[in-house]
Amino acid sequence: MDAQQFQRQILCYSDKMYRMARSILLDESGAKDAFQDLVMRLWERRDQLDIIENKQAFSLTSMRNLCVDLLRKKLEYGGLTADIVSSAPDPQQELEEQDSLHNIHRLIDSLPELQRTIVRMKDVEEIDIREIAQILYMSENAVTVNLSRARKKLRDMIVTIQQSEEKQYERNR
Amino acid sequence: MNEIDKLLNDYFEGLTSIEEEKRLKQYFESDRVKPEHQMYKTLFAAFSQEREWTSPPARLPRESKRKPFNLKLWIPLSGAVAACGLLLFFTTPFSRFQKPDYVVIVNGRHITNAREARCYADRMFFEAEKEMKESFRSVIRARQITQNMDADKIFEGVHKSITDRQTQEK
Repeated sequence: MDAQQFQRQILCYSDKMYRMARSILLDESGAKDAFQDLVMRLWERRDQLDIIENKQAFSLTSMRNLCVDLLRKKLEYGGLTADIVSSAPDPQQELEEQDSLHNIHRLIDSLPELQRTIVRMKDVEEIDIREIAQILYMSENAVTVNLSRARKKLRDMIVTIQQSEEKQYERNR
Repeated sequence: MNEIDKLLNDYFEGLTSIEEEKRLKQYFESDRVKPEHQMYKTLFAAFSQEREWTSPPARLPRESKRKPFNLKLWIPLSGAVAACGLLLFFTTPFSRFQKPDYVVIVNGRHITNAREARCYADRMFFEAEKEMKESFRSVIRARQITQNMDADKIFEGVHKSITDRQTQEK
């Protein structure tokens, strides 16, 4: 596989790989490093990539595995909890912040790693359940269950914020 | 229950297909969003925004410009080289490579090449002649000194010089 073929068959998934790294690591610069690291590794093994049928699944699986390894190493050195999550924003704090989109990103980041990965693969990358199951080495049923849990958590947090906004509005009247 | 409510219920159960979710996204991007659904508008907008995040440019090492080994070219080429080698082998006179039947030993050194032996001998003879000439100079000088050391000659010379001086004083 030469550079052009590598560009066409692997680097076409660069955005998805990067977004996955960013979702798992919750760190933009860390995601960029992980992405570049994986691209180099795939490039070094480019001669073995021709036999892979689903290159999207392979790329995303590799990206996830690399990021999970990075998280584990950080855990070994201490300073992190086992499942890295962003802290859920305080509803009161939400009322003070102007950027609601940014808040939603933080809500998604506050989900457990597996749930936020599945939600983003389904809602951002538009990958179907079967392929998500293949990438994550899970059954389709397990993917559906985790997806449902993640979306319901998001709905509950959004409803909580909405109710806090209404109460604040009533208080200010 | 209208279509959107049903889709939203299925959506939160994780049961919607890709096409159904696209319909939901189109609905929330439109101006037709009902008040009871407004709270989910930002959620779908956030997903759309994340889809716009792009990766940094991938840096690949430069591929070496070395051309791949062309077997189709090298097989006939190596065959031609081997054929030429065999031709040379069978046509070249061997006498040049045969061991000589004489050996000249000069100053402990074995020389089998006649020309080289001749040159070596000439050089050595020349150096010997030069040395002999150098060494004979001292012999000639010594003879001259010996001749000058004849006592009769010396006394005769001294006597002559005294006589001449006496003549001048008178």
